[in-house]
Amino acid sequence: MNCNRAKQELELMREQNGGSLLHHLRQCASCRDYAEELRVVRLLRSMPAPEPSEGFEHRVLRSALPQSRVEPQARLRGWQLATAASLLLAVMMAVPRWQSSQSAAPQIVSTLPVSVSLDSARPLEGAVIRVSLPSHLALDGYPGVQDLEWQANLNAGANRLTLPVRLQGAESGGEILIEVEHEGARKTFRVPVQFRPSGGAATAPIQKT
Amino acid sequence: MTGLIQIFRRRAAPEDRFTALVRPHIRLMYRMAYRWTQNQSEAEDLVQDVLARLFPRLEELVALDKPGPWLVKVLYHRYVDLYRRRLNSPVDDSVSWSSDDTFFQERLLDERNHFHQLELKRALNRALEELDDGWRDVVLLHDVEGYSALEVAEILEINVGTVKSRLHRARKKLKAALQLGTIEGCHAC
Repeated sequence: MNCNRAKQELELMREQNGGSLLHHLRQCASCRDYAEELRVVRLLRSMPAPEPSEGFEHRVLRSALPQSRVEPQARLRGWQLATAASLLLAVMMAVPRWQSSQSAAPQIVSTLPVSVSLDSARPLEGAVIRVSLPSHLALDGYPGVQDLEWQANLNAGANRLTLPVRLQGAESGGEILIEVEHEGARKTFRVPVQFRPSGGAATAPIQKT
Repeated sequence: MTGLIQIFRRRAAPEDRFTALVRPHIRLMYRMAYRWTQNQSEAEDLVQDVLARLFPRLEELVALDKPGPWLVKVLYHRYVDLYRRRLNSPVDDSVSWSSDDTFFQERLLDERNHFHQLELKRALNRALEELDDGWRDVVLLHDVEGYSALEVAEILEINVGTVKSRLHRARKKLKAALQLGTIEGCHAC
């Protein structure tokens, strides 16, 4: 058997290969390689995938049409939550803006509005948002409170949440933990915040856990 | 007949036209989204997210000869945007691809008769993790979902030569990984 014939035989995808083909494969590295490649391609072509959940098509079509879109969310606890977060594909971007209280008080107190943009794939009704801060950071209006939790109806699309972060100590930075929970699933993000005394502020890359 | 269809199309509400155009491709979009996300609910959400953005582009959709690959291209862009963060962004929020082992584990329990084949597929899916994103994209589109090299080139916006060379290299790597995986599997027995 020559290589052309062997390749034709291999492409027939028989359950069991004949003796002459097996004999040829034992002697021909090129055809063995081809047979291996065919095996890989066949396995890839039949790679299983789970079925989508019941009513998936109907659900996505309904949400894609304009009349079913949800109106933007109102303000929440004084913080801007134009729209909100998705558990699934949350992407964050901190856009800090330096603000410094210029009071004559001896203690230096600074506020840094940290804007977090979250990309939501779908509306999430009754999502729970938790914010945890290290001891030297607090949110304006919540002095000494390190863990806050509230419930919100979140919409699909790009969402923005602005946290008025307040520095209350000597350290110039820290990490804020934001957790979004919906129907038992949750996603956690770490938002590093850095205060710069010279004006302007920077954040380090966000870690998703 | 074509004239009647044209009249119907003109008279149909935009919502109905959108539904008629998109519905036949939703399952394919879901499958491709699953290949990329390796997670059923994330795949569903990704498709929903893409479709929710597409309605304003109805006229663009209507003008297409083959909406299928175009929809997958839009899906791919959205996936890259959400999962593989922009390289120039100061925020690195990339999510690395990882095989959906839980799904295989459940199926292995259900399909004892095809245990060996499924084990091989699981090993192969794990091996995909080791490929560069660009190589894996080509394999997932071409070998797993059956798009032609031309369609893959169009979806990924690369040339056909690149598709073929990536495919060749990726298969070579997968072959090696599968042989290694098979040997390791035998040792485990």
